[in-house]
Amino acid sequence: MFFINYMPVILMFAVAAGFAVANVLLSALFGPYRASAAKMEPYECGAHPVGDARKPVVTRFYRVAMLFLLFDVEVALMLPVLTVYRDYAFKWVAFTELFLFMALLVVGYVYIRGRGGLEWD
Amino acid sequence: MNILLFYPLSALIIILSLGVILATNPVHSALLLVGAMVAIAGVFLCLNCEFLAMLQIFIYAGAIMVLFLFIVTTIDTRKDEKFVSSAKFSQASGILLSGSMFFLFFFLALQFVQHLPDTGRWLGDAKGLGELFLKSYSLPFEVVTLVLLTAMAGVIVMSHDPLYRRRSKEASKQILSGGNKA
Amino acid sequence: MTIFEGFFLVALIGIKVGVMVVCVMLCMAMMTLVERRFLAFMQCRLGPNQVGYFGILQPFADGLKNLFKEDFTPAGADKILYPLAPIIALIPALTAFAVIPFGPGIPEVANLLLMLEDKLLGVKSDLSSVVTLTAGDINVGVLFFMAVVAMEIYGVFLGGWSSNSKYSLLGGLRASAQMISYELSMTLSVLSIVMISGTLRLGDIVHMQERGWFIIIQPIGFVIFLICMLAETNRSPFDLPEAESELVAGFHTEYSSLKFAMFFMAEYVAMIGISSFCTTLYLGGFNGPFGLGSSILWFGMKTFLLLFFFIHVRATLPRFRYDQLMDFGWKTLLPLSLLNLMLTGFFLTVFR
Repeated sequence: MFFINYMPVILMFAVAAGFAVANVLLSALFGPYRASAAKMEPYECGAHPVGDARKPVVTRFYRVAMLFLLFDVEVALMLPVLTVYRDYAFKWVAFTELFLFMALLVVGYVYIRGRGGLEWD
Repeated sequence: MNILLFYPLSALIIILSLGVILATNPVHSALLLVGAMVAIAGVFLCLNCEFLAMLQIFIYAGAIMVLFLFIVTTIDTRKDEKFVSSAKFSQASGILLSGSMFFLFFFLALQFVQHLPDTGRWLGDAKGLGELFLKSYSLPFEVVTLVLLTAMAGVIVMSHDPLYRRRSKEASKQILSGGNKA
Repeated sequence: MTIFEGFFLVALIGIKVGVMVVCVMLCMAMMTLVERRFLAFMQCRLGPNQVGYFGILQPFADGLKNLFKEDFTPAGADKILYPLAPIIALIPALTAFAVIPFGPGIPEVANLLLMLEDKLLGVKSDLSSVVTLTAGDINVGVLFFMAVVAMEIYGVFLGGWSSNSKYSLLGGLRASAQMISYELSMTLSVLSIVMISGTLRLGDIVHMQERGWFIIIQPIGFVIFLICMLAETNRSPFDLPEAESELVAGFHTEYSSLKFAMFFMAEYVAMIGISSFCTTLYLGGFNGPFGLGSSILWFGMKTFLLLFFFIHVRATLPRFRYDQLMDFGWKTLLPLSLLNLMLTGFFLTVFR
């Protein structure tokens, strides 16, 4: 019965989803509905919006996401090693391996920083 | 018990994946893919691999799909919605490729039916995986970092436009010299 | 395990989860009031004190008011994602509570349940996992919480994208870029705790802190976590996605009625959730200080202290500029948390 351990998580998800969906439905059910052209416009402090909002944005957001992904993968790779790190029999083996890994990570970080990949200009 | 959950989950994954390729809006596609990723985490749970299930959500749903969404914002979605139909050649090659992929996976799956791998024994928990990394697979563990290092260099080279940088620097200099220095 | 036993177990878990969600929602409601009152006191005002004693009914009045407000969809909004975004924002925030150990088990309740089961089904099964004050203490609790926190980005991003407003889109983009940047440092500081405790189960981490809290051996990690906590929940001084002076209200500019309220609920629930997580990891969870026993009250006090920190920071510090925020996250916090992880590994190996 492996799934019984995850029953609370699934039930929590179900309760949360039920609550959230009920909230959205309730807000649509109650309350008036008086649409007008001016009200439906995107809010821009009173001025009429010019053009479409979903224009392409600069690539720096993409760069941030890409770097985040790479570091996140490193974190995920380190995680299983870290759980056995403390009690591993050959502690200096674990130490060398983990620190080599982290040193390479630091090399990557220094490279990115040196090339100005972290500048937000 | 687990096999009973496997079939509805697989059906859900197939439906969501179909939604990914049939949706005309890229953001809808990406979101359906997030759903498929979470459902795949459920399949990992069926195989008693809770660590992999959580990693699936952490990496695929939490990091890769965020990247996809960011990419979507860098393209003009309204314009691209019109290009739904594609040329005859790419359709034919697509059918050919996906057909051969299907048969490949089909025969692979047939192989696994004959001798089921006991994945839950060592992949299920983080500790087993960690000991494997430290003992048998220590070299691949380090080499993976080199791959990621290459990827980092790639990101910098690709997303770094020196022309853009120079222009934006000049612009910010103009703003700063206007007495607006923070 | 018979099928009735299974149903009994699931029903018990369901009741526990239901009570937990109600408690969290009540905490969230009170939190909004407490924040407004504290902010008012710090600014020499009175704050909302008219509805009920001490204004205690104010959150419910606000909720009712939001319920009866017009629920409109802007013209260019995405018809599917626009109502879906607040749902996606709220679900992970609430689901994260499933793994938090709130307190030790209550023996009286355990005995009562065992008796009940004996009377109803005539069996005595192991209810030890059901009677603790944790919804589900899964083996990979730490990773589960981090994964769920990572999922909180979607509500914000989709809320910003689907509204078809420039302010919303910029707010959503800013929020998600900020959240992923600070999530990295947060994960790295959590990894140090994993390294020290050697487990991913939150219950075990709490038991390990019976003799001493992890804040004593992880002061740098704690400070990093504290800062990332503010940034993850888009709170001041990292509340750029909602910077009123530049982006109106950020990603929820176009939302009205309960959908608008749901983004706030998600923010406050996420605040409580991440404070609980911080309490569990660094402040000893439900263990009292100096070996003073363990109780859910200790947990509540510590979590409230952290929540008070949120409010105090909001009243004290001015907002960051966006480039400063990104610089701070990537150039200061990330190397610092990496250094912290390395130092932890080094000391763990040398002094074992």
